[in-house]
Amino acid sequence: MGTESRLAISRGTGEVVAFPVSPRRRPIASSGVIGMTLFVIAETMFFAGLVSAFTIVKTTALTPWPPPNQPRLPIESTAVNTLALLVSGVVLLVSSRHFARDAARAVRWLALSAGLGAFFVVFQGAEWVALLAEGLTMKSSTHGAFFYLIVGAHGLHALAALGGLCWALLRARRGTLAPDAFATVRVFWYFVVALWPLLYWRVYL
Amino acid sequence: MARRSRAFAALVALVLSTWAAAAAACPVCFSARNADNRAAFVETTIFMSALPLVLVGAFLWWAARRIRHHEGRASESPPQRGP
Amino acid sequence: MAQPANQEAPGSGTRQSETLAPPAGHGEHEGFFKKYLFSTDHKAIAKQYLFTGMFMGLIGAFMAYTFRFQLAFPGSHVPGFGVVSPNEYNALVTNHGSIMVFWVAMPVLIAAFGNYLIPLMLGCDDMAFPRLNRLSYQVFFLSVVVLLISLFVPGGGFGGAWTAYPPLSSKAEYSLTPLGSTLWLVAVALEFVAFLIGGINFVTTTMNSRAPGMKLYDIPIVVWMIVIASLVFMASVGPLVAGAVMLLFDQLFGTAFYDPARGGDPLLWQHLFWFFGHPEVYVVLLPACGIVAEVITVFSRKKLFGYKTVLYTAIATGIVSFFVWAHHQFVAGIDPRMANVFTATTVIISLPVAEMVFVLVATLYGGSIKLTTPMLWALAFIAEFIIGGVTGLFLGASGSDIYLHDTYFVLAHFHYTFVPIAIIAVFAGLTYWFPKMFGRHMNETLGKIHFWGTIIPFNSIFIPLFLLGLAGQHRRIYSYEGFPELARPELQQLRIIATVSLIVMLCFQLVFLFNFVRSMFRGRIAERNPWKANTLEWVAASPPPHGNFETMPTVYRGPYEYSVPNRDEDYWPQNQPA
Repeated sequence: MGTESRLAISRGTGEVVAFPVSPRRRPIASSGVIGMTLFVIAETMFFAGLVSAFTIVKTTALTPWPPPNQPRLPIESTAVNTLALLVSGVVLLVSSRHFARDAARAVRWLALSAGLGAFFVVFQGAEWVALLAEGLTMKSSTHGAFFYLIVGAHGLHALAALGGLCWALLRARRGTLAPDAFATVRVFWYFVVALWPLLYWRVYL
Repeated sequence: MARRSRAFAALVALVLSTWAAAAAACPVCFSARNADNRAAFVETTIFMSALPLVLVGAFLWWAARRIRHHEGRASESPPQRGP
Repeated sequence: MAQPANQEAPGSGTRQSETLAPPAGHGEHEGFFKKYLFSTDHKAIAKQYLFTGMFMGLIGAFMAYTFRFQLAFPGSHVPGFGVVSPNEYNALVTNHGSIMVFWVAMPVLIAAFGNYLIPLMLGCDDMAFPRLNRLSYQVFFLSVVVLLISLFVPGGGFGGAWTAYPPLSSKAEYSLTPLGSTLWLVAVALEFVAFLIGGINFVTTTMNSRAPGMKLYDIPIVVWMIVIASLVFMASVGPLVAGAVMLLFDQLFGTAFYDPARGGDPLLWQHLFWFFGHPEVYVVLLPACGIVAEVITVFSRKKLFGYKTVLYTAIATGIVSFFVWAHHQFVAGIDPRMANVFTATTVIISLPVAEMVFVLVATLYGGSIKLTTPMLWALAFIAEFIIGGVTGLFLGASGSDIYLHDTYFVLAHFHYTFVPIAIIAVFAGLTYWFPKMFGRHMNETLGKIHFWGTIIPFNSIFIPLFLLGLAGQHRRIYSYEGFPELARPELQQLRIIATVSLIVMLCFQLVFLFNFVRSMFRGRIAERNPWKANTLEWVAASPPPHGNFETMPTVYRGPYEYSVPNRDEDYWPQNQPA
């Protein structure tokens, strides 16, 4: 990209390169944010495919839905967990508001957001263990198969996004977190947060 | 006026086309197991078709707005442009 | 991008971390491996994609030769292969389709041309994410390896057709290739990951790295086409990946997503597959149209007729492409109300595509046409693609589709669209940009021999197949000897004509390979702008060095200012001040 060649010139010769004031290259937004947004679009379609397939399979079921001989999904406790994830998203928003002016405060909010995210993932894992013990598996019915597939896919995304948040937290503590890198990580976490209530609605309710 | 009546005719054709009955089309059209299943197919088809347009459309709308914003500023001191 | 001069844009510090440590591959002195295997240079990656795609094309072509030979002379010894067994036949047909769509058309049209042209045509020195770009090729290379392995595992390659409909693809007792089908699916999934990364790079680069002064309507059409195609790809690939994961689980873990006996639905796969599969047609069509538009304007020395029309029709094609996929289910079972709607949309999508063809023809009208090799290929694209498009109307209409479904008519139709896209337009692009890529000219005489030796046999392969399809010949059948009404001698004659034509066409590809390799090392040296074209890639040296341009160009006008009145020269490069 343009930047690199210009910087390469300055690296090679050690001269200060005079940039023309106008006309000039005009990035419309951070490349990281654009790239991540495009990735999120593709991911949204992935989940749309899963949820649509689930919607159709519900109506072709051989038994009443949900299958009566299968364990019930933990609707209430997951609602609490959903709330934790939503709060995590809001906390991250607060953190980003503080980032430019008060980095130390931003780091604290960021840690809280990552902590809530971790709570969500661990809680989901515990629920899975309980459901597996009760006999809901991928092979026991299409209900179980779709439940583990959709929720599991979201869980993997949450883990990846959580990794991003932790990376941002480490960099922010050292003071080396670039605003754009932070913005890129945020886009992915907001996606994970915003997607979950929709999945909760379609899968659990 | 001609354009409006043509649009009206197209609309009528579209509405009429949704009146098709399974018997008139093909023997395998009964593969749907029940009314719920048919409805689910129609709903998810509409959802899946519309979603990419909404997502990509929103993205492009945002990008176009930002680009217009930047080009607006660029034109304050424009490079000499040919035809 | 001009970071230092752009403080006001939010998030303009993206590349801070990368400015501290120079990106890999941007040094001057690199070892062979670093330069050719781990390069982040967009031109090196483009050539990697190009050569991998060409290699896969040879494999796909060899597969076509073996199963066409079997169809023309059932049960006989195929020279270079041996006797084709029914299982091998299925694997050959399946992998021919998969390879030609996913490992030839996609890497060459989107990845190779996209990587090569986008930074050069936009006037910047590399992609927005050079290292992601390298990752994209590495993942793609891995997918090639996995696919090639799948052909040689016990049980043989996957044989459930490139559309992989369950239950044939989901149950080992039906497909008989438990390892082959799983590896095939993994290879396809890896390939999608590679192009997802690549597409994100293309769109981001086009938005952020345009040369100073280059407005949206100054972007060359081929770049627009690749960007629109990438967006369509990104928005359509997700559901197929979802379907592929479900299929993989059915294969490996015994889930029942596609098993109706246990509450699943095999039709789901067809919807999820074609939700991607049909937009995919337009994903490869649009870049092909873009390449042809560039070639036609340069060699008719005329402004592209209706730049904005082309752009808007491309966008319209992209939009409507999301509303046509269910025409693949007309026979499999679909709500008749939906069948009507999808018939209408399928016929509607021919309008923007037809408009694009009209624009290209209007560009030719009154131009000073030079019949160079790239121009011949571009003209052939228009002619042959029209045949493919027109025969598509019979398949889009649900009434006639019920008769023609799954016959050789369908096969001939999509080869009349895919061969112009993935072969003819690619040859137009390769012969046109060859001087820029390798700094030397290709031989024109050999190029024209190759052109006629490809186009004439191409038609005599697929016109007989249209006739066979109308006679009711079904696809994916190993031998027609068991079907008295299809084994009639006059139909067998048509099969033999098609097969012999295929062999002739493949022989003429050797002319191209010879010309290509020889010109790379011995061809006439090309100057910077041998075709006297306007777009920015011709401003750079041939071949462009690392970083592309000596000084970053500034853009003053649109890309198609040819034969402007009151000028001495009939072209006017985009970077030349008025």
